[in-house]
Amino acid sequence: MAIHNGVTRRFAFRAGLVALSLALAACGSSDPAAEGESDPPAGDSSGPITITYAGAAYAADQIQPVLDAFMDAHPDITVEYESVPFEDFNSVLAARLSNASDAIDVFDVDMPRTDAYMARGWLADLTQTFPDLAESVDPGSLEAATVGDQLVTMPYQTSTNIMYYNASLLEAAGVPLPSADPAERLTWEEVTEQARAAQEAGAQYGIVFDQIDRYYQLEPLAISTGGGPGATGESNLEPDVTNEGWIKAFDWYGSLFADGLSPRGVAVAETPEMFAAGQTAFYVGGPWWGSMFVDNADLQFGVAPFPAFEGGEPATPTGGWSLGMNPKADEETAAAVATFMKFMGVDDGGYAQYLTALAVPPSNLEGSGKFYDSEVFTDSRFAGVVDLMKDELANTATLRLQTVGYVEFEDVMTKAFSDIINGTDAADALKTAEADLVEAWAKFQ
Amino acid sequence: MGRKLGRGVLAGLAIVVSLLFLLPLLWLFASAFRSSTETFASSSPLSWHALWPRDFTMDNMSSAIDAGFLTALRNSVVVAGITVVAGLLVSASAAFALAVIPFRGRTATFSIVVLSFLVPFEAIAIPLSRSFGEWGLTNTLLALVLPGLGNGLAVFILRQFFLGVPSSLAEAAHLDGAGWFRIFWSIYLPLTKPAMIGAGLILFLFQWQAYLWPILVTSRSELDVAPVAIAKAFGAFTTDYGRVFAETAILAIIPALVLLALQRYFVTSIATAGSKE
Amino acid sequence: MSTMSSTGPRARTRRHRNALAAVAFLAPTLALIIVLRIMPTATAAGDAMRSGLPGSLAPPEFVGLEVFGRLFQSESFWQSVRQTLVFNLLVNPLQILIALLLAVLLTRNLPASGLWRTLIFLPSAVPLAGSTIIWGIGLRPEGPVNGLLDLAGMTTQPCFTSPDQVIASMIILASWIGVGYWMVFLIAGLKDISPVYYEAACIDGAGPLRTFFSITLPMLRRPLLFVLVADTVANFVLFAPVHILTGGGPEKQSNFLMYDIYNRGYQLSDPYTSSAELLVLLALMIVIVIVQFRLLGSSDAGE
Repeated sequence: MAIHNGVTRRFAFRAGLVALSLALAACGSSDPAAEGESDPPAGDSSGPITITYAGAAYAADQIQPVLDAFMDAHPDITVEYESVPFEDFNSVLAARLSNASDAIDVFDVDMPRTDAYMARGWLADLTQTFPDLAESVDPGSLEAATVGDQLVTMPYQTSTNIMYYNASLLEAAGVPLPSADPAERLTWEEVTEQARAAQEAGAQYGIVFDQIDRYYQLEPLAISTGGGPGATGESNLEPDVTNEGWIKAFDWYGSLFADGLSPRGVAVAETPEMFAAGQTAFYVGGPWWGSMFVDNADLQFGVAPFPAFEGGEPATPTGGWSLGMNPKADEETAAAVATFMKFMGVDDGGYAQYLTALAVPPSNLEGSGKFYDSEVFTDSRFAGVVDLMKDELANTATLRLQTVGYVEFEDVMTKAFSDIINGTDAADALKTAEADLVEAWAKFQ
Repeated sequence: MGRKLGRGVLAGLAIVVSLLFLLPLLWLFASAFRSSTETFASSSPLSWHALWPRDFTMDNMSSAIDAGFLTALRNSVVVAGITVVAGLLVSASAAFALAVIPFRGRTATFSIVVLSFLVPFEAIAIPLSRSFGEWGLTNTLLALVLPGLGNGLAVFILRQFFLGVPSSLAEAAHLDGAGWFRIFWSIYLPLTKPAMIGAGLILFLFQWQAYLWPILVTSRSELDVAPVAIAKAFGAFTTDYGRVFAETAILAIIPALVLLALQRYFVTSIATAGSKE
Repeated sequence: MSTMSSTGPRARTRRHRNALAAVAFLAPTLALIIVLRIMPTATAAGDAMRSGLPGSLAPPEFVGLEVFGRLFQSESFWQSVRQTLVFNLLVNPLQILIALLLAVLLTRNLPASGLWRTLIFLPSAVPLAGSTIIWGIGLRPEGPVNGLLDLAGMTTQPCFTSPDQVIASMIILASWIGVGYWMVFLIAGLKDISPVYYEAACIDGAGPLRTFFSITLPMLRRPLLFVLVADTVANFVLFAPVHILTGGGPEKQSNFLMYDIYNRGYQLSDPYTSSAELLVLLALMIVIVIVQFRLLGSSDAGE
């Protein structure tokens, strides 16, 4: 669309301005700053400035130590944090990125939405601002933060998944406990049988997935059968969810519910409780549930790698949050935001060092060390989890589909997965999804 | 004897129906006082423990307080209180004009009022919040209260009840030289107390349940109202269901207590003894 | 006003004074309604004739009726309309009937009526998200309600997880919340009926049913109109339970118009299609409300 091109041209101009101002500020600054900083920060070009940061990942009190540390290191910049409920984050961004007076300057970006946000004109180009980012963050995060050859966000945290198992329930069924070694990864077929055995021996459920109907959790199933991430074509705008791989993966997934191994009618937020209460034999989900499970002294659990289909490639969910800059920010604000982004994502390992507990690994390679050293992983039940996670992030982590139409994609697929869980035949549900995607993506063609 | 039996049956019916409505809320109140793990564990398979906590704990309440729920509750009460008082004044006045004062264009004006409550608020909240931003009203009490004041439903219910007051009363007052305001204040308002309570409920519940609007027009967490505080219990990595249940239970009790206290105003009207059109 | 003339200079002064009084009484409400409801609606209506990339900061282009054209060709839109109408045609009469019966029951001077009324009203005081979560868990295939059915020897009902039962489950949820609320207004209406009429009916020897249909119902016409219209509107714009529990499913059976409007506007950042659907929803509601006013609002002056 013609309008779209005009918007892009404006960005190039803005980005140039940002780069220029940063270069100038860096040359002229003599701020002593925090120890260990190699690059003196910008932001003191004309006195104190306040930036607004809207976040969905952390509550205000959780992120405060990081913000306090930043404001200590950069006394001229005040960060006002707004925590927005996860569910409504998208609409708040839509409402507040367009007007001038109380605009959000920097905000969390859900990694797979990066392409979509870029197309909407919500992100400033950061390619010139952080030219050496590849040295500091993991490759997956960097890829997620890049659209075409432009860096558009500062990735700051990623994620991975593991499979928890309830040792008591498996022992009662005479099932050998799985190993945490990625080389001894189970197949989904094996896990299904073991789950069934556990259920017959008394477990209420055989297997429960954490984000039970979300693309984040289920994409690896399709990847593992060779079905692909769900779209093909030049900009990933041709839906491809009815191929053999997808149908095989989701026939299997639907059968878990039809056979009673997994429960229907359960919301995503309710699933960890099922494992914590000792009701389910296998729980496939994020390591962030670690403290909830560890706190339950009676729960005898262990961890194993995220399974793969027989004969298929292993794949694990990944990706998390990045920081985006409002492209309408003026030069001073943009400079201050860039300083903040650098603090969060790069300086000395980034934000992680200021938080007492980390739920997910930071994107910053140096900072991720702190996550792996978390106290919760030292519990005996978590034996082997650190090496497992490092291995998965390095080898099997699969980014979600990168496309301009991601928001619509996730919406349609969640509904399709939900239907499959509730008993709709996988091929039918996926066919409907494909038709819906064609309709939803028509505007992007 | 037959009448006593009939009344006994009716009383029994009333109790049974009330308890049926109450049952899910008993579950809610029980869940406010036990860990979320126990809540979910006791819901399937079903045991009588679903309604009575096995391990009673105040953890959810203290977790709610730690998260700042008391401030959010206070904010909700203040916003709702102001909305009810100002809203009743404003709505009752409008209803009076629409029901009692004869003027040209009354039907058309009433149609506008009806149209205004047909429009779902969510559908206009985003553009409206942008306007409020432009007018510099973000993070103000006024921004939270204003949309609750122009409530077409409250005007509608009051208008319906004002129509039921015999016009002979107003005519007599006119002959005595009373102006419209006098008639409004001294005749119509006292005669329609149950309707005022109803309108007050409409205004109150609009603000008590308000979630989307506060998120759009306030950004500071000290200004959060209670439903927003509850939503923030659903984090990206953890969900404190226990806290959700505790906070929801507290939010539910308050309007109920108010309504219970106001029951004595639901008395049979004495005004309509006389002509009724 | 039969004692006063309606022509002549005094009548004109009176009309003038009435008009001024009306303006004074109506000004605050009208100002609020026009600025805070009507004008944004007009903006939204304008959005229905524009198109642009979702969420884009660039100004949209004017496309006239193209958005409507695309909408009316979409099969899932028509399915939304169907499901919305099915839900509403079922839930509204049901809720109002039950509310009316309960209102009558709880105005029979039974002991502790105030308490029963409050208990039945209580569900509407619960934040909607809370009620939704409670019923979402309650109606799970393995939840408490099915546990009770199991004890009674009945088969498990899939409720929200079945395309055939999802509308019924939504009706149960909406009714649990709404019935008590509407009952309060009907109680106020019942209390407004002077006992003189009942005494007269008693003297005439009318039984309870006859009294109900000949006296109670007609005298309840005005509050009943309010409840009918307000309940209709409330159910047409209900979307939070769909958003939280079913996402419009299973198989789009609960994809009500208002949910789709919300989803497109808020989750997909597409205000254009969302506004077009809003206008369709408003048109539906206006038609139904007009019919309701015709049925029940007839004899009041100026209706």
